[in-house]
Amino acid sequence: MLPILEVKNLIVSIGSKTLVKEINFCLHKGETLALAGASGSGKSTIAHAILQLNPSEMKASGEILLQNENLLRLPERDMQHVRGRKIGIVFQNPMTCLNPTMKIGKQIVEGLIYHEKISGKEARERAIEFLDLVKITNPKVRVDQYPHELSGGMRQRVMIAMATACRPEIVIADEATSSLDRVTQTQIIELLKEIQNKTGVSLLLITHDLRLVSRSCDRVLIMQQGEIVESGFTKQIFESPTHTYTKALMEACYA
Amino acid sequence: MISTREKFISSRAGMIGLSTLFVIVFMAIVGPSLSGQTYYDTHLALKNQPPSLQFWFGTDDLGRDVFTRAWYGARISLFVGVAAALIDAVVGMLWGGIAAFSGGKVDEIMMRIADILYALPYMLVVILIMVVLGNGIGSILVAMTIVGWISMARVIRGQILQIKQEEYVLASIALGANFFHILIKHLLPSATGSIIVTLTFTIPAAIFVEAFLSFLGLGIQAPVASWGTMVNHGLPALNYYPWRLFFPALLISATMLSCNMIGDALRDATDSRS
Amino acid sequence: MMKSIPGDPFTDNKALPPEIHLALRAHYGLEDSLSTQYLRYLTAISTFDFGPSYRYKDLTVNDIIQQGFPISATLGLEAMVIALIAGISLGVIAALRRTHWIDHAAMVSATIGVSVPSFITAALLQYVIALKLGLLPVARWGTFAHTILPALSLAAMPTAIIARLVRANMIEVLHQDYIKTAKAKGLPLFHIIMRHALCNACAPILPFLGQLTANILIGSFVIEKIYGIPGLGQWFVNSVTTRDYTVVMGMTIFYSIILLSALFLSEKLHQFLDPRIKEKQ
Repeated sequence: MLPILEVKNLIVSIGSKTLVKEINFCLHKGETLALAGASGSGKSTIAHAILQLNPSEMKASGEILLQNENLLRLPERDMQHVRGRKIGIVFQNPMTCLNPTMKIGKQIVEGLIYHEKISGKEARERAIEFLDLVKITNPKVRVDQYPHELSGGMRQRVMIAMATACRPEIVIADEATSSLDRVTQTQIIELLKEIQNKTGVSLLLITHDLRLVSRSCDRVLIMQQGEIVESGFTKQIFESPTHTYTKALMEACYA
Repeated sequence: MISTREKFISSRAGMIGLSTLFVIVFMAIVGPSLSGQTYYDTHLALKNQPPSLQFWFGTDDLGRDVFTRAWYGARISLFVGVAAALIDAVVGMLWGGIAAFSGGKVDEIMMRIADILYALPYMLVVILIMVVLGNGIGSILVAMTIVGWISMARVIRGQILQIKQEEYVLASIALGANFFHILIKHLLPSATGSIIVTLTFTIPAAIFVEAFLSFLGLGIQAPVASWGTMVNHGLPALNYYPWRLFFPALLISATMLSCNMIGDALRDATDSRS
Repeated sequence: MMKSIPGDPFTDNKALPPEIHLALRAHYGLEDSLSTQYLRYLTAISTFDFGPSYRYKDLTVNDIIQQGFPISATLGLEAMVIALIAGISLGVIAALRRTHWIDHAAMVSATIGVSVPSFITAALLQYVIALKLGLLPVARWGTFAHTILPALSLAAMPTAIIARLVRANMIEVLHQDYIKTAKAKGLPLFHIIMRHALCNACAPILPFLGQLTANILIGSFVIEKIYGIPGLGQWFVNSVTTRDYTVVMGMTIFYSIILLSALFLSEKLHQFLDPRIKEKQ
């Protein structure tokens, strides 16, 4: 298995408080890796750090290597080439993550338009394609609609379309299903897996839901208060968890 | 938790504004007696003199002492400003308070009336009323307050609608307290923060309106000195005797600026979100 | 309300012998009962005939409006454009460079702009730039250069108000999640501001535009007086002080129409820019 993203000795702190302590892990090509833990354990912070999306008050040290480039040291200009194009991200709350005054079609292909400078007509066609790919019904009508006209599940699909529009190598799903109902959650995860099958993209799933992890992830990292307390293949961890926290987490999840 | 007062004191702009205002008010009270002149005595032989030892701000076109007139004008402008703001506040508090506390139909009707009045362009109404009533301080006060209370009423209503549901209000009602008792003893005091902030912004607006009217020839007229009339008379002579315009203009700006700075600082200090 | 003013347009004119005074009143229909006069006026208005001016015997109110309106409109529009462009730019820059000295400087100037009355700004500009430095004409109307100082004086206060509003909105917008999404797509800052942030930050200004128009309209009375511009503002002020009441009434109605249209327009614009509003209705 080829490592595509390597995180070495990552430390993120704000002021005197350390949020993430000495994290080390690898994401391999084509795999689905889960970062699991309770809220506040630092998982989202790591995701944001990969793309330098944390507020400027937060300081990060260590290395995040993508094709041998340290993402933490990349200047803003170059970072913009990584975001969206090499690594895409889907956030938790689809309601607030979409611009309420812009049509969704436009928002999906915006990155594409900007980077590849395609014409308006072509952009619209690509947008309809993407909507179809993420299984939104009636794409020709939807492409001109506004976010408030769509349901939560549909909005999240739009977010996925946005994240995969430029064919990135990695897609990060930061609690992407946490605000959806159980049925829609399953559908969204299935969609992500389908995209992975088609395009070979590597998935980094950030979640607190262990059931989700057991069903869809190859490997899992259990986090507690900024540290990785256990890591390994999903099957192994679920069959015989070693760390007390992992056991406690599983009990809570399957209660 | 730092108190509101401490937050206000920490605002540099607010403190500068407050001190400036103190100076202006102090001089308004004391100024005219300091110079030994009156605001109406004319010294025709000494007209249009630049500032000197005898006439600290110079003289105007009738030989009157600009210094005394400026501080006398301060009294008038400040009085009109504060009086108008207070009347607005009282009317607004009652209107908004009654509307909010009564709720239902009463609230709807009262606020509908307020909305209609609010739609009228304020200055136009003031000007028209001034035309009907003639010049003078009384007319200015009436003209300004007839429509001016509305923004205060809205602010109060907003605040009271929020506080209405609090437990101590419900307790008071349960104990059988009457409408006005609750309104005045409980609801209005809780809205004090917003009331004071709005007041602090209404005062400079009122001073501006008075100056504006007098400038147009509609408000206070000579020989009484208000800042607006002084600016009005000082303007044509701008090229030759700039001090006649400069001092009243400076005082108007300084007063309004101080009030706005105080208002901003107060608003930041009472804002529960910051 | 105008009828309640004691005296009539001719009481100032002391040289009129009483018989002619009466004849004039009859001619203008002032001797008729109040209700007849009112009815006559209303019918005239519906055909946009505002009646004659009492002061200037050969001018009707319509003439006055026709003469003065283009001038005042040019001035007003210029001021509005300046206020919007300068105000929005200042607000955006201040929001982007928070806690930087630029932000403080911009906000201090904005507070000053809001506090210093327009007629003082006008007098100051006139004094410093026109009289002392001779860079621009002092007064009157005619060329584009004549419009610069008056428009700037008119625009000062609105610019300040807009700047403060935009800055506050912009700061809030920049904290929104969709801005983070845009950044995560790899879009550059400039693009994010222009396409995403600006629209949403400026939308709340629109309801204010109606008031802005009122502001500029009222300000024009004073600015036109100071700069000697023969626009509607001057006419209005003169007619008020000379009790030329058809002019006053006619112009008040005219102004009200303008203000109402401005309010209506700004509401429509707001709906257009923010599609959510239509849904709520």
